[in-house]
Amino acid sequence: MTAFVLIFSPVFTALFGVLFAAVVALRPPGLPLSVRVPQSHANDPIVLTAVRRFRWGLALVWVVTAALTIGLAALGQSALAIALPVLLYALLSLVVLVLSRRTIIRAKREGDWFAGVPVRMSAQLTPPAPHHAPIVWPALAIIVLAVSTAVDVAAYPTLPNPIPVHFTLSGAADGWATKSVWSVFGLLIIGAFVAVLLAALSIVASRYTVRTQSDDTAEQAALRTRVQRGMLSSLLSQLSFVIALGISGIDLSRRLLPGVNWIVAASSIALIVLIMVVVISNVARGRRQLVAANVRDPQNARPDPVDDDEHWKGGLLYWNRDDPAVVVPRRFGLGWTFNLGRPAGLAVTALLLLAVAAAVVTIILVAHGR
Amino acid sequence: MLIDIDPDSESPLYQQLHDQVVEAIADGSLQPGEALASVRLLATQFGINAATVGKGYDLLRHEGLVRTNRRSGSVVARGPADEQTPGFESGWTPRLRTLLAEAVAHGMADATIRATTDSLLTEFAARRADSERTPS
Repeated sequence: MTAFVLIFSPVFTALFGVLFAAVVALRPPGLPLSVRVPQSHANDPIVLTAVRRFRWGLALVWVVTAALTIGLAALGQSALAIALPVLLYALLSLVVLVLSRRTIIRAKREGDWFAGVPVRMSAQLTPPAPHHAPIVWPALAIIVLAVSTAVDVAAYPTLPNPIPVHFTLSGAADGWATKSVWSVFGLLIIGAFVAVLLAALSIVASRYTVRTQSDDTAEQAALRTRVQRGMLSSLLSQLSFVIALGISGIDLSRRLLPGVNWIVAASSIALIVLIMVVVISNVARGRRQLVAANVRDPQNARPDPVDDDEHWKGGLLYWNRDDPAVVVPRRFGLGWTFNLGRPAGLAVTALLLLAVAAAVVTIILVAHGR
Repeated sequence: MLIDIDPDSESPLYQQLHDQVVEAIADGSLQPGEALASVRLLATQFGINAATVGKGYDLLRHEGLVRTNRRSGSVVARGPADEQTPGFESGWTPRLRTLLAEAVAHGMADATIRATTDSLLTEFAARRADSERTPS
């Protein structure tokens, strides 16, 4: 158990850091650390130093949070040793990003990097063919959830009342509930909901509008659209299967092997590891496929994109009243973000934040036996 | 194919969009019947107002170069090989007249004007032949 406490957050944050750094490399060469720079300065020593500093900063944050894990574990604070370093890592890595990009922003402003640089806004006039979201993973997700449901239905009459619903980290039951459809099938219902949501998002991702970088050639723009749609939609549909598998595994082990305490903990860890594997493998494949899109041929240079830094707060949040798009591709990281300059974008973001807050409060209440 | 518009240019954005579609039809990079992105999709990609893109498309539709119907969206309505648009010359000649007058007023020699016109027409034809050999 102590080994788990010691290993969990360092491994998790290390994987997160690798992913964070990998995602940075997915971006076009004109967007180092989410700062827009002209092609003529993409390999400026200041830019290269900032990117290097960002990587070292992430490593440093990892060392600090790993030390915190060991300290908290030594004090016997197991739950804190698992959660706090992960949260701190997420927060500090954002601080590292903001600090590392500042040197680029300053150099760009002082050197007036965009002075006299021709800029264009570009779009694909002939729409690229839609990517088909993979349906095999959601189909498999339905099958594993159906198997678990069948086992639960068969076991329902013989289940004890009250039934155990909450377990300590070592797998011993420490919370019970009256036997009901919700207390028996609740986990599977949540699993099915999440799997369906992810499958739906993978279909959305397969059609998503990728904003054209005007320094891309037509072939590169088409490749970028294809790879980003393919990467996101396969990532989301594989996640729908992995989550269904993990939740079925937890559910089945609870029903079929009620005495074996460590299985629930082991399935939870396996689920987290599988999620990380799916995310990292898809990002790695996307990176490989995007290499050709990020090559710049100085002989056939295309115009630079418009400097849109003023609309990107901290390089992460988008705020542009004049942009009709409510959902825009992220400039940093994967997927989309909302345009906070539009009422609809602001409303959806507020709703999402409320939903996250509600989920956190619910988890805390449940964890403390309400 | 890509459309590039210059936000700093004096020419309005819808006009730039219009001009590039016309040129793409002339040099064969857009073929008759080829589907164009919807107004909304194009506006979202550029990050500009949909009304601006709509204005450019309206102009193209009005000239008969683009056709929009509910089912297939906007498509290229005609190409260089099709029969000449009826009544086209009467509108075009006065504009050409202004362009030529401009060149003459600025001291461009007649021979240079003819040579420039020829080389542009040759370029369109060469690109057209090229895109027929390698259909995109």
